[in-house]
Amino acid sequence: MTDLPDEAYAAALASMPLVAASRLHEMVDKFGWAQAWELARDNRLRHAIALRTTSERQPSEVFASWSDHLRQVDVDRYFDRHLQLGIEIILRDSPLMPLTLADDIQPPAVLFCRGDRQWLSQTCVGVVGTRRASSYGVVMAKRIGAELADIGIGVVSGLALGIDGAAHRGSLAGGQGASELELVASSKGRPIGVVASGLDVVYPRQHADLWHAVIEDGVLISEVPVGGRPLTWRFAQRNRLIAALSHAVVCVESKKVGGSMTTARMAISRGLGVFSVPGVITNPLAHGPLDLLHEGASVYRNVDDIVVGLSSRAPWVPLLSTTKRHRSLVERVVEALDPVSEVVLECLETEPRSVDAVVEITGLSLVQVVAALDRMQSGRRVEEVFGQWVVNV
Amino acid sequence: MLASVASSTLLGVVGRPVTVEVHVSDGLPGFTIVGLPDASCREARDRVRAALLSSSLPWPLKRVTVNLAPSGVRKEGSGFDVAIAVALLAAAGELSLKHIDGIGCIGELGLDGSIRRVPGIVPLSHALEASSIVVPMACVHEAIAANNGVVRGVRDLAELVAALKGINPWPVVPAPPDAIEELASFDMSDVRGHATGRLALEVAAAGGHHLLMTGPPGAGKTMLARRLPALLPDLTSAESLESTCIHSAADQLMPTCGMLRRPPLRAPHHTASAVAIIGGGTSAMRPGEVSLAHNGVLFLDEIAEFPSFVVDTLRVPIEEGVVRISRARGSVCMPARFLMIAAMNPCPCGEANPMLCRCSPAQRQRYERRLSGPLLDRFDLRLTLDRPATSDLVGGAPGESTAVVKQRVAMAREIAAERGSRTNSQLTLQRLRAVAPLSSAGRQVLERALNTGRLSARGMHRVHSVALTIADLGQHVGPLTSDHVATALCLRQELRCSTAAA
Repeated sequence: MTDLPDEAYAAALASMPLVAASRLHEMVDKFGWAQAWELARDNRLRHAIALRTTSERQPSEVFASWSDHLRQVDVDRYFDRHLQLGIEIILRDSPLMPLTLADDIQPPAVLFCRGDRQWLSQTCVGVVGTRRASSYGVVMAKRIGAELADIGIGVVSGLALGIDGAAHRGSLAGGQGASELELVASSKGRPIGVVASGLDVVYPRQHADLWHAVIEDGVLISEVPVGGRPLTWRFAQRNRLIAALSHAVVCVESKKVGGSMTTARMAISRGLGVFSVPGVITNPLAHGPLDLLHEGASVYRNVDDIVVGLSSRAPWVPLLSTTKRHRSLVERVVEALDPVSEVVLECLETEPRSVDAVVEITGLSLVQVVAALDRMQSGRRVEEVFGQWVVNV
Repeated sequence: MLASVASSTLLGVVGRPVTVEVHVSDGLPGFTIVGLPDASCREARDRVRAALLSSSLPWPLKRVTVNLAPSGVRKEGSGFDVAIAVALLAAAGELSLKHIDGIGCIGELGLDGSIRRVPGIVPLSHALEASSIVVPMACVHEAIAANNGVVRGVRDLAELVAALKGINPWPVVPAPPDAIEELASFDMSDVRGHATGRLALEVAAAGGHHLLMTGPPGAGKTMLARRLPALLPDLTSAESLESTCIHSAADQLMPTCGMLRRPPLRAPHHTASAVAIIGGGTSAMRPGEVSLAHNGVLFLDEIAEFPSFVVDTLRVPIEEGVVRISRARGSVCMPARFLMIAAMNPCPCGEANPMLCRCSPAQRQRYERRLSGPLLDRFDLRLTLDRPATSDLVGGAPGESTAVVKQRVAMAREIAAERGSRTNSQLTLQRLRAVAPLSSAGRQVLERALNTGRLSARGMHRVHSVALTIADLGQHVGPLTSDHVATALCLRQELRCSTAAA
């Protein structure tokens, strides 16, 4: 038994029910990983650790549930499963623990990591927002993700439906511009996914492709060992990790209360730059970002705002001049447009519209409109989101 | 004495000739029907007796045996009543054999001697092997349309006997009402906005491409679907006979002229059973909705509300154009070549807008998954509709009328027919590549859609054939341009439910 590394015991301890980082820290401070595991298994922790009595559970029940759980877990084989899946286990004192997390006010006790862990130390920005985003929110999140990737800044997000996923997709798609610019950064920004389940439990299922793409292209981290379900309380923990890891946080679309607002406020409490994407005030999903603006967050107009706003916490910040030049480069790609496309583009500039609406307004034939949209889409001038065509600025 | 009269029975949607033989001999008075009659057939005895007596005709107090030949085939229904009565009168000596020479009869007898219509008069009279046939006056026009011989309509047994004896002339058949053009109550010009929807209807009608529409309630899915049949060309005489036979066999209401000339529209409710959709049944094999929609349109509103096994039964008829129904007692084959239009909401709550949707992602996925992948593949055209803007509803110029679009559809169908296939949707991939090559720009558009994951390899073939239909509608000659392909792509949108996951 004694020849197992601490990581094996850490995985087993982290898999116990109702164990968050703070509880693990307390155990490990007193006993170290291996001994904490032994005590917890034999139900002898009750004398060493104080648990609050809650309405649902007596402390003795919690200790008993830990003991029961650990008796069922074969530490050796459980550890092996992590290794087989290529999951790295980073303990709190390890030099591999990213500094941003190690120095945080609520540092993780153990971190599970899949993908290339070097990306955890890149300069990165959290992009948060609702799971039920509007087309505007999705477009903005994608664009922010792509622009950040272009200038070598990673995107931290939760891989959830809506804004989170869109930001990651943007980040994965971005970075094409990086080679055109003589950037100081050696590579494009990479997506960092922070999830609330074990790294083998894909959640949400719809994002299975994204999940694997992030592992492939960036890195996926969690505080939950293999097989851990995405329980509600773990999402709050996950949000804290997003705030801790990011050098700045952008809130795209959110209602007045919700997980993304919590993340943004955690970022404020950590002294990070928080940016709000302004929305239309009649849209309930704009109220979250607007509240943040009112509380003193910065407005997000384009990626330059983030570059300016990134504090000295960020190890690497692109020069503002490069990002400006980058945009002018992008703009130069799309100069010449045929007359029909001009008309269609003009029509879309006021607000996103469906094909039918464009036909109705411009009086062009459907075939003309569709062909023009197709041409402009191939030039990345416009994009279709939820059946609405949106102009890429 | 022995006498026989021709008649016919229904097997699925086709008629089958039957000879009704009646033998009257001395012996204990009695009446027996042999030759696999079903219950309603066996009851003919009581109807015939009452009808003869009511018409002041003699009922022979002798031993009567009725045989329905061929004896091995099951007979059903009350359509043999008239044939039995006539043969019986001849066998009993009331009519001479000369009178009934070459006569075929179809019809049910009332107790007062009246002759009533029976289901399936069109296939029945089509199959009848007789030089002159007698049918109920109520459905004489349908029989005339189906049978090229002499067709007589009669109202009651007394009238029939008098005519057969030559006492009275045959009753005059009223002139068939003119084939009045059905009032196009749903015109395309009523559709405001919906440019894509209009084009999708036109392409569906011209190329025979199945169409799936997704959208929130009130987006106009049903409104559009109702306007599709009017765009299809009139049925050819062969098609018309096929469809009329099916409708007649199912005892559907016929147009007054007796023949279906316009493509039928069938819109079964989503509570319909698999048998009601496909056909079949316990006693007789009845055509289902797919057969009734033969040569016409099958409209499945709220397709996601249909039990999935019912919807999946459609796969074979879509592919083969026929349904084969096999039961222990036998199997029948019924034609079922239809244009399918389906409509569904994007999710259980019906809101397409992800902001307003109250469904959980799991609910939405479950809803979408009710359409199996193979079935979804059959839809060349997939449309996502939104509620039209208010300005479109109140203002907005009226669009082209049905008549204009119908003409274009007819021309496109002609072009397709010259290629040798009935419609473009039935072209195989090899044939499609041969007759409709893509221009390099067109190929680029397709490749881009493939690379971005919008299209699968199979989807590419379907988009290609839709692009061909669009080109035909524009009477375009030469390789398909990027405009055609882009428009075809625009008519194959992703289902909104899956894109909501960003």
